[in-house]
Amino acid sequence: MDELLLSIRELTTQYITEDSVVHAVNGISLELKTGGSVGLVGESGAGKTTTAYSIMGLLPKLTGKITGGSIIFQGKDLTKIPEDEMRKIRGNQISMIFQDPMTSLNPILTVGDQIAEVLEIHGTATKEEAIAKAGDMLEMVGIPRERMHEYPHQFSGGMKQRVIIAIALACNPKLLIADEPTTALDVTIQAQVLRMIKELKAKLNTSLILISHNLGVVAQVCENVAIMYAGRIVEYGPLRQVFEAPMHPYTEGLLNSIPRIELDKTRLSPIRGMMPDPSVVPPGCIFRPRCPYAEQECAVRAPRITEKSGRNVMCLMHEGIIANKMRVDHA
Amino acid sequence: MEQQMTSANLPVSGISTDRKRKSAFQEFWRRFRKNKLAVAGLAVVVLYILMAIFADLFYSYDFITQNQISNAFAKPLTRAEVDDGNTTVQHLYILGADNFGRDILGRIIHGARVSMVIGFTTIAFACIVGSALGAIAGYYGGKIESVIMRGTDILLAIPNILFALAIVAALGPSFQNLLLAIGITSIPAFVRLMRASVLTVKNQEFVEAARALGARDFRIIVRHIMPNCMAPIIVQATLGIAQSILSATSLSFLGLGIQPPSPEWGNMLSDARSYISYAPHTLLFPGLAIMTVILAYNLIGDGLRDALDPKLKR
Repeated sequence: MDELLLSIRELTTQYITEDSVVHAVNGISLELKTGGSVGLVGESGAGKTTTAYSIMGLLPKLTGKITGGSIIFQGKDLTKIPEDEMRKIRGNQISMIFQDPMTSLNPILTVGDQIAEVLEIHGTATKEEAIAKAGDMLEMVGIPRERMHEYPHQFSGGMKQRVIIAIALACNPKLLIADEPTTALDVTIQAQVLRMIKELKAKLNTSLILISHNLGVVAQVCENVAIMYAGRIVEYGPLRQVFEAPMHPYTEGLLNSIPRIELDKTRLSPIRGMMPDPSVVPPGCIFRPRCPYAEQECAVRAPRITEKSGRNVMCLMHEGIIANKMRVDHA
Repeated sequence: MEQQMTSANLPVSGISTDRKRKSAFQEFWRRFRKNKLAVAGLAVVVLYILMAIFADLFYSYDFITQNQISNAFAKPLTRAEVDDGNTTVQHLYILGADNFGRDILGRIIHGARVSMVIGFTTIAFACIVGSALGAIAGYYGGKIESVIMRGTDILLAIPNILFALAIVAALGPSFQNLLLAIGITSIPAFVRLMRASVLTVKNQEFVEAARALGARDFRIIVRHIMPNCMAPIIVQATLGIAQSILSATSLSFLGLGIQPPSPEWGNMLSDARSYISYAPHTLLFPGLAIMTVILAYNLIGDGLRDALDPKLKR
């Protein structure tokens, strides 16, 4: 079960508008094994959702464009295959769960019809089989089969998100992309939904890309984590290692901004400053203006991805160019 | 009490299924029923539709088209002899007779058939064509939208009745041409409404979700977008039926619609207007028929608008 399912190489995605080019994703590389899971974490505008849309081929037609790199999924480059073929992969082999369960279901179709629809689209079942399977899927996510004839407004937010998960998993996809699946839910439901995603993922041997700005959510589900900043993956590694000993100053900053009950702190330390304007890319390290360890060299030389004890990090401190001043030493 | 506790302890099963299943229509009907005028309008329309369907049971077609000159301008509720082919029978003129001695009530009932057919077919045509064009324009945008919407603007720039007149005058006055003329002039309203609704619906997340499931554009438009745009279209269709009945009677009044001796409210008015001072009932009753039907449809339309307006939902 160690085969590579998805391999993203140097993916670059831009939004081209009349008066500017927005560099949303700047050469990210990411690998995912069958059955594996990776969390994409970062602030709003870090390029997490754009990455997901690039994989799904759902970038806005007029503005969004993949300008470089490749997305190899089961040996096929998704950036090069025609729309017709992509449509057969969407929902069938790669599924996506959207952020807001309140609006991602069609209000005038019953939930059963909506689950059955994806099976019909991909021709995997006849109408009757699809309806029966829809009932099975509902039961799998813990909703009684009888409720398949009800409309979305008759379900609570958490149940809607479960219905959406049922739709996403109906065709037994190889890869599930969950874009902030719990952001719109309250914490108790969040935990339920996350546990369900984790269980179903193990049961169906689906690979998972979980997008979240919440480190806690990623921590519950994923094996690996990729920290994104301004369209780049600044740090990548096994979840536990990254959380316990961050190598990139941004990861450290993120972890410091989480309230912790065991530390007797009255104030959180947020990361100062704002993310740079993605339409103007400065030279040097993109995180430099906000970095507490920045030196002059950082303004000129762009860091490259350095591999260190099985983890990737993009910082000059780890290239040995400037001194490593972070508290934890990884040598 | 115990039962309530057990059901409350089940985290996932909500309120039972059957009671809520038909709730969308029931909710709509509950709100529509509150508007007494709209219900009255619905009753009138249903009455006219039944009249149109069963017209032959009340009056045979021959009888109301054939001349009974001796009974011309019979006053309402007069009894007179009519020639039924080979025998003569006594007949009660409930609403009187016109200048040829034809029964006015009979002609109104048969005229209802013509008006209802015109109202429904023209609007069905305009609704299908207009909604499809509007949905395409709204969904795809760009050049396709420009072409469709500018075409619509051109149609809108010409007064409806003049445009219909032009079509009928060019193709000749016949029933089919009348339907075509009125149908075409009714299209623009549907195109604009549908486009506007599609623009608001197409950016909702469930459309994106459908795309993420691998659905084709056609499926997304027909199954996900258009059904969510139906409320304003239903209202427009109801009001449109009134409008197209009125257009048809206007054209017939001008002599370009239904040709005599076929009974039609517009040409009944047209025939009767020369005798307005001598026999006002020949003008009054067809006029009343037109007025009540138009009013009824407009009342229903208003009632639907209120009942289907999501902003008023509680």
